[in-house]
Amino acid sequence: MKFTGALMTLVALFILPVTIIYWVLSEDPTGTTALALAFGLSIMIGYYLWFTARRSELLPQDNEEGDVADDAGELGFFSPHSWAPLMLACGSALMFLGVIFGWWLCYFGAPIVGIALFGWVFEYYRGENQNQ
Amino acid sequence: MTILNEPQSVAVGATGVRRKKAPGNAVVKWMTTTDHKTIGSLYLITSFVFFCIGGVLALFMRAELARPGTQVMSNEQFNQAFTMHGTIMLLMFATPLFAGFTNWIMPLQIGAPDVAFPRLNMFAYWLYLFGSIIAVAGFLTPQGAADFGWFAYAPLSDSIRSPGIGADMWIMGLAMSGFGTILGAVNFITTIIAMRAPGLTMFRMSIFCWNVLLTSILVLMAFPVLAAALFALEADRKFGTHIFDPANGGPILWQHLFWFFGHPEVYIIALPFFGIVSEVIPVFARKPMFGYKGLIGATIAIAGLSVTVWAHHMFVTGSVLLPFFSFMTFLIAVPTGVKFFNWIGTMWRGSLSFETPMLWTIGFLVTFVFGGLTGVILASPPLDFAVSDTYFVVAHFHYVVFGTVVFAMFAGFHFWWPKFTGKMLDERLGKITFWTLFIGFHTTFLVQHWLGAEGMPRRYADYLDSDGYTSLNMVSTIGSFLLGLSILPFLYNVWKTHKYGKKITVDDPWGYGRSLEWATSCPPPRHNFTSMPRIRSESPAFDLHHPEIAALDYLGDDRQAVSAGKESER
Amino acid sequence: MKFPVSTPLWARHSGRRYVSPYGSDRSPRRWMRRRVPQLLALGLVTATATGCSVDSKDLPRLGLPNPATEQGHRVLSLWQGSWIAALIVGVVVWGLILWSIVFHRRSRTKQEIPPQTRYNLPLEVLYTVIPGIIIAVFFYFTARDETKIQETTKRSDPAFQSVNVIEVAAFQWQWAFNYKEGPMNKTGAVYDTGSTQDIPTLYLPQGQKVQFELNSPDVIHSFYVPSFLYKLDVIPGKTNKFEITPEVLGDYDGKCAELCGADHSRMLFKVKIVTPEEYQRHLALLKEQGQTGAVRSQINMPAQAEHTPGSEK
Repeated sequence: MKFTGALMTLVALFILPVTIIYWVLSEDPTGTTALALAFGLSIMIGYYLWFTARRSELLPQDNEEGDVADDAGELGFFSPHSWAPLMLACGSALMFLGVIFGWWLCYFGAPIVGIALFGWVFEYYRGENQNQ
Repeated sequence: MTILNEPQSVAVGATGVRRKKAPGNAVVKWMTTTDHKTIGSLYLITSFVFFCIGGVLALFMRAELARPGTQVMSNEQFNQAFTMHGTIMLLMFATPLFAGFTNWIMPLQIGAPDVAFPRLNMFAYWLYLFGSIIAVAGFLTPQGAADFGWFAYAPLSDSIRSPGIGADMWIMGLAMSGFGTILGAVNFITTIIAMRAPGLTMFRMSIFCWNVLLTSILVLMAFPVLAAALFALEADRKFGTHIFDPANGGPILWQHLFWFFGHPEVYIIALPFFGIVSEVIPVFARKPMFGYKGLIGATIAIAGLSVTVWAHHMFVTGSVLLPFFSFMTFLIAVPTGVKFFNWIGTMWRGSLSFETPMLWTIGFLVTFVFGGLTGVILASPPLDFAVSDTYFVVAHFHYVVFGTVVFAMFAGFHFWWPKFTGKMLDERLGKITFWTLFIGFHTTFLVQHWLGAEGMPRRYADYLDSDGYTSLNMVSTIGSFLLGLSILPFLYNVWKTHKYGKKITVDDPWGYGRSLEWATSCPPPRHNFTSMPRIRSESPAFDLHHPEIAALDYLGDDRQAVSAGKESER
Repeated sequence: MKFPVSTPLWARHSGRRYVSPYGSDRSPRRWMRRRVPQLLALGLVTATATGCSVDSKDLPRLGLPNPATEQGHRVLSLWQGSWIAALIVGVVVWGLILWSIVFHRRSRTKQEIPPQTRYNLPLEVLYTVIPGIIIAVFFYFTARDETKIQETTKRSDPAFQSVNVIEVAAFQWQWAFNYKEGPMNKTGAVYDTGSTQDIPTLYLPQGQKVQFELNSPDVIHSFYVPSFLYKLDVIPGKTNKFEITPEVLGDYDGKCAELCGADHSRMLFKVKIVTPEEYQRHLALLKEQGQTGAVRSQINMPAQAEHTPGSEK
């Protein structure tokens, strides 16, 4: 994780001088803003990863001598199947269509989005796959 | 390493009752899946369908352009055709194809049981599907689909000049689909950072996964800008804002925003397929990738630089800093060249065999180099002034994009079909597809360089007899129909394999697979690995299946240096 | 370690009858199966690359038209030089690929694992630095020529007295040429425009500087004359300028080169480079025809009928 943090920071440290040079040479606000935001994104991700890596111990995946046994045990919960993504997508589609065709569509879209989000978040709080 | 087992469509449910296996079960299973492999298949199938739709639009255009005069469709319909052809090919075929291959292969290659956010993965697919359907459904409206070119330059795309609802459907459909791409990228980056198998350090990760990581980073930087620009355009159209009003410098603002997305987009399209090529060559040359670290460095350079070159699409606007963008664009040619030498270096003194995946890969190498060269020519503003917005540019981008995406797609299909389905695609049909497509492609697009240099602009629905463009256009049209026909043997291949193909019983039917996906069954189980090999190099499956060669390699660094030294002496 | 001696899996399912047990398939007629389509492809590509309607005079210009302006010559030379460099690079790369395909293919008989070379630092440095040098040289020539062809005479410059200023108005889907008043224009402000059936003709004086001001009242268009080897976008809300010196007498085609709507491909015009005397005669003719003044060319101009006599710009 430290490496990927360094990678993102490297990208950020490349974009920063480019942004400055671009502004000085062209005084174009659009490109400069976009580049500055790209810098912001990269440094944010890079710093977070580097910071997290510092606080945690070396993961087996980053250990050149890592053994399969190092990662033994439960890897995590992986949702087996779910209706929530489809429902949320249907709701979102209705919302987008509402912008195009008329706001009345959003009256249908918004509740579907709401229910789908609710379902997505609380799906595994009960039932056969409960893990919360 | 244990994997949490979930009851997934088993005949015996949690209460011990046998569930009926009706046909509807399969549909429900696919609609509610969270398995990256199924989602990958959905992406691959859907994007291939869009490829065919976009291809048919192209055939209509080429039919119209074969001779001067209006034969097949009106000027307005032609404008819709090239707008939707470009949109479909770039945003509904190539970009989701990247998501499809990534979904299938990346978790397998890093030894992960699935992606980091399985439900988000599925959600991203639905956003893509519904968004694309909305955009293409513009064809069903009375005034037709969007017709202002896939770049949607303002003010042509405003509500006065493009009043139809098809335009709004295009804008919002793309915004929705774009969110899907962004969420997919988030998923991929997280998976690569957090879920690699033990010992699979970043510098032992396959080149494909490296390219996926860098592509996803580009997606994060580029697609939000597109989404913002699209929402702003829709606001202008629906709510009467003046964001892109010409009085406020709107046209150039739109172009900057669009191309800040648009240029990284073409690298988003190219990089994953460079990754596929980088996977195929080592297997069919029986050598590891030459200059692995240099290749990664070059890819990082390409990704970084691609964010800084956007206005080379705007040289002829007279509104951009020419030397800056020209210089950065020239610079990008260097790491791209490095990659080429990496690939050639892998083939060099290898033990080459030319099964279909390798054939497609060599087709890519031969085609892309020419597209790259015309790209360097276009990077020079004085030359760009002469040939921008002509068929020269059309020829250039078809060489690079088609050459990369389509050739590497077929290479990837043939290479990984056993992993996806447990059966091998037919070699003979594969070779027929390759040769007809290769000939068809070059016949179509090589002559377009000449057409463009002569002065035929792009996006022209028609031309005059006196222009002298007729014979080259006729050649191009003939080539395009051959190109279209070449897809048919592939479709037959898919069907024939499905119906009559023999099931594979080994993990690695190619014999010399390198990366981790070849260390599990064809197709893999639900969570990918029932046993994980020890990972000590960038070719873990190769080391597992050919330990005698791996032992040779790691007997000592001097032995490696000796063989490397011998290479440089010759 | 056992090596596979039976038919490889991929070949079992390919419908090929004979497959050699080691490595790749090697039937006696294989070279023909390989060569014939390749030769056909090569032949077709060569035939189409040259095009049927091209004669040998065009080949040295590699498709570009004969330049009709002084500036055009620079562009043509840069084009030719760049293509020579590009083709050399291409031949090297294709050569390496083909060499490898021919000479590094798998042996028919031996089970082969070649030396697993992973890197070669000197070579890698070389193939990074050499392309770097190539593009540096290319950039130098680009920057030099770009500066030259982008030159426009400033209004404050005394040389501006010998510049003909023509404003080009591009609108959906027609062109108008406003020959502006100035020291070189003996007639005064006149204009010319056309219709789809009768496309307008832009007259230019040979050997004299012409500065174009490009304006649009609606969407983006692009002023493109292939024989100038140059184009420049016409952007609403912005005036783009460029300057040329027409050199070769003759008739040339002009086109719109930025998608501007349904009739984008019908937005054509003609360019006639004539002697300075004939140019002045043409301006006088326009005045006689009553086409004095200028056509509306920009956004936010007061709406006026298309042919407005007497309005000075």
